[in-house]
Formats: sequence, C-alpha cells, structure tokens
Amino acid sequence: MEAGHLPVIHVRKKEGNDQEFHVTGGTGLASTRLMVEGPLVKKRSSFLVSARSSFTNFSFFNFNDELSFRESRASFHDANAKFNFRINKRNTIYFSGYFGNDRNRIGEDDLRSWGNNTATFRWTNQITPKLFMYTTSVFGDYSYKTGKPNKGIGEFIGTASNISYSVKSDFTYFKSPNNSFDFGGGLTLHRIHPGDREPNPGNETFNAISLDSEHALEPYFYFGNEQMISDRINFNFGIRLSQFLNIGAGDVFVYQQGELKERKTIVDTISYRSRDVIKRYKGIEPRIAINYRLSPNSSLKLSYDRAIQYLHLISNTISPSPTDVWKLSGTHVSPQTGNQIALGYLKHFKGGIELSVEVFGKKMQDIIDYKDGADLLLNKTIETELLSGDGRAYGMELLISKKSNKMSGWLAYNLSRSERRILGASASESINGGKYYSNDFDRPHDLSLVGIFSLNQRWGFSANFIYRTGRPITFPDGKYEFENSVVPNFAGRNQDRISDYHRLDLSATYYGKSETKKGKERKVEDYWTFSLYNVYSRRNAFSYFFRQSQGGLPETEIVKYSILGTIIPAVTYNFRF
Amino acid sequence: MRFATPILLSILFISCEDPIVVEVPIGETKLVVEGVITDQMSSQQVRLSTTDDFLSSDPTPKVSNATIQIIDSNGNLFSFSESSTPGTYLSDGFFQGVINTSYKLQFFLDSGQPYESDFQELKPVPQIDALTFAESILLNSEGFIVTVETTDNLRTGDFYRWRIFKNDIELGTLSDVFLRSDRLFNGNPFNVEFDTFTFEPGDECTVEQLSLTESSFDFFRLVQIQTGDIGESTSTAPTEVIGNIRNINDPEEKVLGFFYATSITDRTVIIQ
Repeated sequence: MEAGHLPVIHVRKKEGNDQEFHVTGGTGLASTRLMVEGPLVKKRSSFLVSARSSFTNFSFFNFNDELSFRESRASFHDANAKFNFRINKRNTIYFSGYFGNDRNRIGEDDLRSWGNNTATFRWTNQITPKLFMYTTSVFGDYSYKTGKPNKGIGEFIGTASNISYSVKSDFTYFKSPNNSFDFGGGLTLHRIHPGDREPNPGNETFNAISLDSEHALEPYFYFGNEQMISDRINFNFGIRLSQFLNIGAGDVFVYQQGELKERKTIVDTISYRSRDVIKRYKGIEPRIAINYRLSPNSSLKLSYDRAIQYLHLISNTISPSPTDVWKLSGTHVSPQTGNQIALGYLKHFKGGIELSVEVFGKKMQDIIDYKDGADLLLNKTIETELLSGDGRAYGMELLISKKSNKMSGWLAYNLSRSERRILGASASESINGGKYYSNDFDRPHDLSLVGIFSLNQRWGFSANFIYRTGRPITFPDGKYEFENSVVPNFAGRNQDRISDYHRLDLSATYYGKSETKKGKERKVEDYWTFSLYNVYSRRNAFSYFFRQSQGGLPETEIVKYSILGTIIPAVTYNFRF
Repeated sequence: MRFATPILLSILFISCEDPIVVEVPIGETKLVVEGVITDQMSSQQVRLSTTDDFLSSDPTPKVSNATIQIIDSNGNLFSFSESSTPGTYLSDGFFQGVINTSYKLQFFLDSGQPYESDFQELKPVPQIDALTFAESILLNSEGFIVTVETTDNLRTGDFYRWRIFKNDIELGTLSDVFLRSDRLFNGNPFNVEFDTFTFEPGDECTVEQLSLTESSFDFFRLVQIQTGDIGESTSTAPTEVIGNIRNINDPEEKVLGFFYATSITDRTVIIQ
C-alpha cells in the first residue's frame, strides 16, 4: 500500500470442487468475502462462484485533520464464476468470468472508478494418449472513468479502455517421458480507446474531446522442445514468431525530418482507412535453458531468452495509477525488446533446507521515457511528449528456505541494479546528458525474512521482516527566486535516494476447534487472524519534499513524507463449511 | 488451499510529515532572469540574480551592472537602468507594450557576456465578464472564495494566468499559480474558482487576468510542478526548468528564468 492507491486485486486460480459443496468466507475490518463451490453433476461438472466487497464507502482512517482525507472513500467489489464440464474422457470444457470494479474518491468531488472484466472459454481435447490440445478464447476489458460528478455544470466525465480478444490453440505432444514438444499459435486483436471526455449536461465550458481508437492484430506461432539428453542434462528450447500490425482507421502525423517532434513541426497528416496497415513489426523470440545435474541434490541452470512487448503503459507519475494510458506500437512508438541471460545454482540440504543462487544480466531496447513536464492527458500528439532509450539490469538473487511441520521460513536477498539511458539527438531529447541513471524502482539491496511457527493444533505465529534500499529521487542542487517564489533547481534526475525502508509485521492465527464438545466433528472450520503491521512504528519515507518554508522568502525546508508510519493492528475472521 | 485467503484491505492512509536534515548537492551557480513587458503604462522591470545553495537562508545573490535593452518586432528600442535595488532594472521612463507585437530582451553582463531571449508575443486577453464570491462549501475552510468568469476567443492557442490580491497584497506563490490553456474549452465561456484562497467580509479582492504565450505557459506550468510537493505518487519527475534566455557566445550555458510579454485586465470586488 505504499504506493498510496488501491491495488487491482489479484485473482486466485481455483477450479470448483466436483465432489461436495463448500462455502468459504472471511471478514476483516475493511472487507468481506464469500465463495461457494460444488458439483453440478458429480465427478463430471463443477462450479465455483465467489464475490468480495469492501464495506460500502468505508472511510479512510483519518489521523490528519484535512478535508481531503476525511472525505476520501474507497471501495471495491469483484465477482468470479467458474464452470467446468467433462464431456467424456477426452474432452473437457471450461468457462470462467471475472467482473471487478474499484472506485475511489479523493477529496470532495474527484471520482475515479476502474473495472476489469474477463471471460475465458477453454476446450481441452486429448487427441491421442500422447497429444493434447487446448483451445482457448479470451475476452478482456479494462476501463476507467474519471470525473467530478458532484460539481454538475462546469465538469465532465472521462473514459478510456483497453480491450483484447484472443483465440489460440496450444498443443503438447509427449513423445516419451523424457521428450516433449509444445507448439501452437494464436491471434489477438487489441483495441485501445485512449480516452474521451464528455461534458456534463449543461456544461458549456468544456468541448467534448475524443481521441481516435487504436487497433492492432497480433498473430503468432511458437514451437518448443524439452528433453533429457542424458540423465544429467535437461535441454529446453523454444522460439516464438510474431507480427504486430497496427491497423486503421487512424491519422498519423508526419513531423519535419531532423526536427524535434512538436506540434509546430507537424508537416503532414496521413489518414489511414479502416483495415489499412499503418505499421508492421516482426518479432523473433528465442529461448533456451540447459539444466545440468551436478549431484542428486544439486543442479546448475543456464538460460537465455528474449521478450518483445508491443503494448506500452504510458505514465510519468512515480507509481502506477489506474488512469494510466496504454499505447500500441505504431509509427512513432517501437516495440520494446529485452534480452536476458541467467545462471543459477540449486541445492537441497537435509532437513528440508533449500538454497538457490542466480546471477542475471538484462538489456532492453526502445524503452519509453517522457519529456520534462510531459502532458499525457487526452493528448492527440502524445509522441511529442515521449523519449526513447535503452536499459540494463544485472544482479544476484539468493533464496534460502526451510520447510518443516513445526517451523518454516525463508530468507530472500536480491542484490541488483536497474538503469536506463535516454540519449536523443539533442539535449532536450536526452536525460542526464545521455548517461545511464537509476530507474525509479532500482533498489540495490532487497531483503525479506519470513518465519512461520506452529505452536500446536490451535495456534500459529508468523513474522515478516523487509529491508530495502530507498528509491532513487532527485534532490535539488540549488534554488532561485522568480516572482517572489523560491524555485528548487532539480539538475539531474534520480541522482539521490530517500532513506532505506524496513518494517516488521507479526501475526497470530487461532484455529477453531475441529470437534464439538460431544466429540463430533464440527461442520464448520474457522480461524481468526490477529496481525500487527509495522510493529516498531517506523516512519518509512515515501518521499521528500523540497519547498519554501511557511515563513516565506528566502527560507527553505526539506520534509520527509511517510504513509502508514505507525503500528496497525487488524483482525480477520475466516470460515468454511 | 483449504481456506479463503484473509483479506485486509489496508486503506489506512495514515500519513505524516517530518522536517529532516539531508545533505543536498551544490550545483554550479546559474544566471536567473525575470523579465516581463505588460500592456500597462508603467515602469517595466527586469531582474537578474543567480542560484544559491538550497539550504541557504539568505536572499539569492543579485547581479548588478548589466546593460539591458528590449527591442520589439517594429524595430523600437527601450533601454533600462539599474534601480536603487541591486539587480532590479527599470525602463528609462514609462511605456506600455502593444498587443500583437513581439518583444525581445537583450543584455550584457559586467563580464561582457551577451545574452538574449526569443521574441515573445504580447497576446490579447479577453475582459473579465464577472468576479463573484460565495461562501466556501469546503468543510475545512471558512470564509468566501472568488470565481472569475470570462469568455475565450474563437482562436485556438490561448493561454491564461491569474493573479489574486487581497487588500493589495498578492496571495500564494508559484506553487499555486492559476493557469489554463484553451485546449479543452476553446471559444467557450468559462469560470475559474480560486478555492485555495479565502476572504472575509470587508476584504477587497482584485483578480488580474493575464495572457501568456504557449512557451511562457509551459514555463509557469513547469515551475509550478517544481515548487509543489514533488514526490507524491501522482506527481511527475522533477526537472531543471530551462527558460528562453541564452548566452549568444555559449549556447550550452544553462540560463534559468523567463522573459515574457502579457496583456493584463483586472476586476475588483468588495466581499460582503
């Protein structure tokens, strides 16, 4: 939650129980959930329906007597339905639907809501005992709405969406227990509606704005093989061939060659008709992994892969926001490519202890960055706000874990760097003079330590400690005065860091009795969770503010801003019958 | 998994601010220019200063002994002289800028280095249709807030700035400067509510409505970002704001500040 906004809730993959009915639920301070699953036709067909909701208009806790917090509310609801049916021994169909809606209101009248809907249909067919086919059709829709509904006249409703339809067939062929092939292909249609804005009725101030939709087709094929070459070597390789066709209708601006892309350097506009191909990209994505068994308990793994990304998230805010814009690769925006190589070592010790170490290096091309003060809202010439460059990342990941009935836990430590270089044709198209600098999410040290202890049948305890380097930010290298205000001068981007982040959380779980007083088995299984977040109340910095003091010119101050800088207790009740 | 994952939605937005001491880098000293030509008959003003250490509690150093003049697109020349306030240069006599005329600042520092701005057009600004006041509906503020009503002209590419005065004292800093582009409401009547400032009955409120060019609008917008609370999750990355002044001998030198031209119209209301 340090990002300061609601997360889009992760959906757990679980298929229905085809043996018996179950109801599962949980309730805590802020939200509640219920799930029902069971057979439709025993051992043949099952369903699962679940829903979650935050308590309606649950107000943000407010320790800060500011209106903007008091009036802020957030809520989310989601529902999930799954159904599967085994037609015969060789054919199964599966359907699932997900509907989610989150909204928050900031201050008096700033409302944002975003929804995520998906529908999936899958047919699994065992063609021969060795050849399987999975044909899947997926529809996904992500959309958001923003506006100031209370203000009436003078205000507006804005909407945007990112829709995709895809059909694919995946095949798996088990040639022998030691040799399998997977291959297939698919087609995805992307449709992005970057945004429009409709004034409220009676609003004579704002003109309606609608940006053209973007469309693309992405056909692809892939082939892969995994085999044991000897009893020590496992070999896995694959290749994916794809095309990305950005298609009309749409207008593409032509900019003066050799000039900065700006509205005033537009020399022509090319209008493409519906279904015209505006821009075509081809992609080859190979991957290879070799696993070498050093001993019965240890192995080495060497891998290489390339990934191409045709969709881009356009956001120049520090943390992702639900109102960020998506953009398809096209005339002015190239696909992003990443190449990664990794070497790993894995060893199992006695007593359930496992050690893994991996070193990796990664290079990225055509990453997107933004001009200073870029204006991305409802912008028809968004390419004039974008810069492009390349990135690199390298590091080591260490994981030591132990599993046993009484005591489990792990230590994960990552030592890494993640940097980018934006080197354009001119100084205004470069950042930090075209030198490599830290990405916003670059955290050289990242450690987490988790311990889980079960005392007896009824009580379990866990502890979770996190430590990571503070994120890069930009400190001013001076200040100046302009029209009686102090202006901090931020000369180089991300050259400094906020203080390191660390936190300890504790929790205890109390399980309800499994038997009644008469010794019969209880129909309900339940448990309580008591947790403490941020046990030692550390005020971890979220950011630093550099600003003019309240006293006025020429005094300045540096202020550490923290969120959730105190201990937070919580209780959750969970049940199943 | 036998049980539902317990969900605790941590929408506990407990935030706090603590003053801290951190070491900040000390960059090279840069020249800062603040100059404006208005269409008001007055002594026009240009100020020169430099950057200073961020944590210095002294006023920033002023730059004296410069030779300054402004030329317009009709070939007229206006000379300036340093006033009794160091670093502040006033036009030799009153003059007013003319609408649809462009102006350019030229000066030599004492060191002999020559500088100039680009040509900045003095664009017309529409009249204020009305200046109204109403009791604030915000729970945390008491008093009255004022709203300006005006009508954008049919031409696109108009940019506005407003300055608000309470009993002749300007309110706010550049972090709460009011700016609008007509990109989203070209040609329409519109109003701007100055809800960050409150007034009491008996206060005299004056609102100045200023025209800007696209580049001066972008400059104020960027300065506003730098002076706000940078680093909140919704804010953009901070940056050095390079204005429209350049060293003729050394185009690589980074000069801060801006020279612009503006037409001003104002309206005053007594809150009651």
